[in-house]
Amino acid sequence: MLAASLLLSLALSPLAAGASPDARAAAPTNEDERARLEAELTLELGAASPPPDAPVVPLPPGPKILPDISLVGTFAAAAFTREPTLRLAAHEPLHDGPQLQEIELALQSNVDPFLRADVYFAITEEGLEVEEAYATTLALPWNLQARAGHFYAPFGRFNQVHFLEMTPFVDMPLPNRRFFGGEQLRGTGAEASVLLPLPFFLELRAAAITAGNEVSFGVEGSEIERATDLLGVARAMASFELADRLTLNVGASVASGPNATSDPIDEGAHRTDVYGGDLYLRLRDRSSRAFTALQSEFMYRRASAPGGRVEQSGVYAWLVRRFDAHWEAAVRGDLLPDGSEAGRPELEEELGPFLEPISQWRVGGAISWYPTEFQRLRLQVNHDSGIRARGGHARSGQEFFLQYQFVIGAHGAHPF
Amino acid sequence: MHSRVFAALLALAASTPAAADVRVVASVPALGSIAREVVGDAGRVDVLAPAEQDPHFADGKPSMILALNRADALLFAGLGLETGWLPTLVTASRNPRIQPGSPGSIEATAMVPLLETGGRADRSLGDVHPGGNPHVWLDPRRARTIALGLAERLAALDTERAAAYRANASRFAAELDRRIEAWEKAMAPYAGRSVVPFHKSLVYLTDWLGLKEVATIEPLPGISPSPSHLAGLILRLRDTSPPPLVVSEPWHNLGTAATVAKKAGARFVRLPGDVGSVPGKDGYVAHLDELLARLRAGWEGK
Repeated sequence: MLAASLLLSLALSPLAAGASPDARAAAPTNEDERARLEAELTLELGAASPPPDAPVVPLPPGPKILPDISLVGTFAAAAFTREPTLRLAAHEPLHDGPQLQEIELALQSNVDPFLRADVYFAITEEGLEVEEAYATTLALPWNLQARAGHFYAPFGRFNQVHFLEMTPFVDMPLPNRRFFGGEQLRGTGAEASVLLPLPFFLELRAAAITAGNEVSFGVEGSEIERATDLLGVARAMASFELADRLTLNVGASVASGPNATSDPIDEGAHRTDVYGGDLYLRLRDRSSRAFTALQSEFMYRRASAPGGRVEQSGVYAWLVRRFDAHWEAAVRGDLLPDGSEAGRPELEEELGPFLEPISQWRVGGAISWYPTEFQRLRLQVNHDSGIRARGGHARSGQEFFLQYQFVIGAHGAHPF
Repeated sequence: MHSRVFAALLALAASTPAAADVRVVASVPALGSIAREVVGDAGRVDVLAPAEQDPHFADGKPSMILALNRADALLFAGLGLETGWLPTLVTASRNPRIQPGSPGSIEATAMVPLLETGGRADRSLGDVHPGGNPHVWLDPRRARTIALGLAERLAALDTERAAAYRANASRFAAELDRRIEAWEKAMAPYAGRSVVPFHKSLVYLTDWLGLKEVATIEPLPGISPSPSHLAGLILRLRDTSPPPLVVSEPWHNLGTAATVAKKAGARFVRLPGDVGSVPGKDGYVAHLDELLARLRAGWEGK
């Protein structure tokens, strides 16, 4: 019965009679007749599912809504004249011979008119990890902006960039490696920032994120019991146009959170505070891609542990000259002057070796060649003093790196 | 005391652009010069990229974020021209008026007919713009369309001054009409002549004037020429009669361009950068006057 009524409906449909939808629209009398028939049939045959008003026509294929996708592959060959100094597996060359530094896969897109999302996956010899994944607001009032997700903490300059793509060296400056490790300072949480309405650029950022960083903090997200178990990070950054093509950025940062020198975490007892100051001076040449830039950061860390306190400072400075579209040369000096202890801090847990006061220095130079905008070959040589800890002796050595990088996919914008 | 400080901070935080002053930010100077004609006395126009630098590779500086933060509208070329520096600035501007899709986000290339569209999105073809060539402003007919289109967009954003934007744009369009006639007359003797630009940045100019772009010094967009490519190019140009004019904007390798011209028996002309790069040639019309005069001088051997 139902099948028969459907067949009847179909047979009586305007399309089956050869009438086009346009013809139907142009002839209201047919519409009236159709409505009358439909009511009559409903009465006679019962209320079966009504036929669709118009045939379902598949939409023509349109542009697909996909995020911007890009991939950066970075490989290195390394040679060390002695064991490389203490470092954690991540994105730096770790051993002699060829190695994958990182495959970075980025997906970026607006979520809606009010939010954009940036997601970066990193594939290293250690496996796959979410390097960053965060959403950023686009339309908050009062010059405010918020970010939420997993991201690099707003501390200093180096810590906020994907250094393999954005810096002129194969490796990390010593203070950043010593204080934040190979993964840099990042975590899951939220950030608020404001651009102050002043005649010059001044931006303030504050973030609360998990303190899982295994070099200065070491408190996993699962151990969090109260708000003070989170890592608080704040930064102020100002920028000045000193001349037509000369820009100076200066910043100050602080990160403060619990550390895992005691287990379980003792509320408020053992914390690490890191303070930083940074500057970036950039002179762009008049009519080319050439520029000269000086970047420097100073960092100071104070960590309390059962029985005492450890303090360490560090500084690095690099000078880079981009000659043209193809060539770049850079030199860098890193210094971790003698750290100090107060009391008899017990540095036994996993954090211990990284909090221990040391001294170390390093100088290095790198030359980069960009055959095109989308690939790069880099040669770097370091002289490293080695780590001297608690009056011990350091073994100096040389480090040699040859690095290759390629970029495919959407063209990412470079932060200044 | 505290309440006074708070009130001052509140006033500071709330200091959005005055209603009397529309703020337009243009990504590149040529678009800025068109915007200035349309905005006139109704507001101010800030330009981000310097006139002497390749618009693909401008530095996205924090000071630009400040300008974007206060903008009512952002006029940009689009099609990926500014993709290396502008998107992060727009996000960091925290300004909902100019975010992609907002009425104040105005893409110049969306207003005009495009050339070189429908190409393959494939980097084996160089740093391509698959949506079309973005260097639209060197064709004054398209500049005219952009001016009129911008006036409509600004009129919708700022209805109080709608008449002023439309009147300014009409005045500029009328001036361009007069100039186009004069420019076409002055350039008519050179129609069909061959030019060899460094990059594919002149396609709209050559299309307008009926010039023939026989090659580019770059083998592919954004790919620097190798000696073997240059040798082949020079041999080709030697067979081109009459000899082509080798031209380049100042941000490309001028030495390479001049050497190619010399070895091919052609003349080399250094083109001005963007609008404002030549002292005293600050406006759109003066800039195009200068550019065309340099081309004519090149052909005349001056």
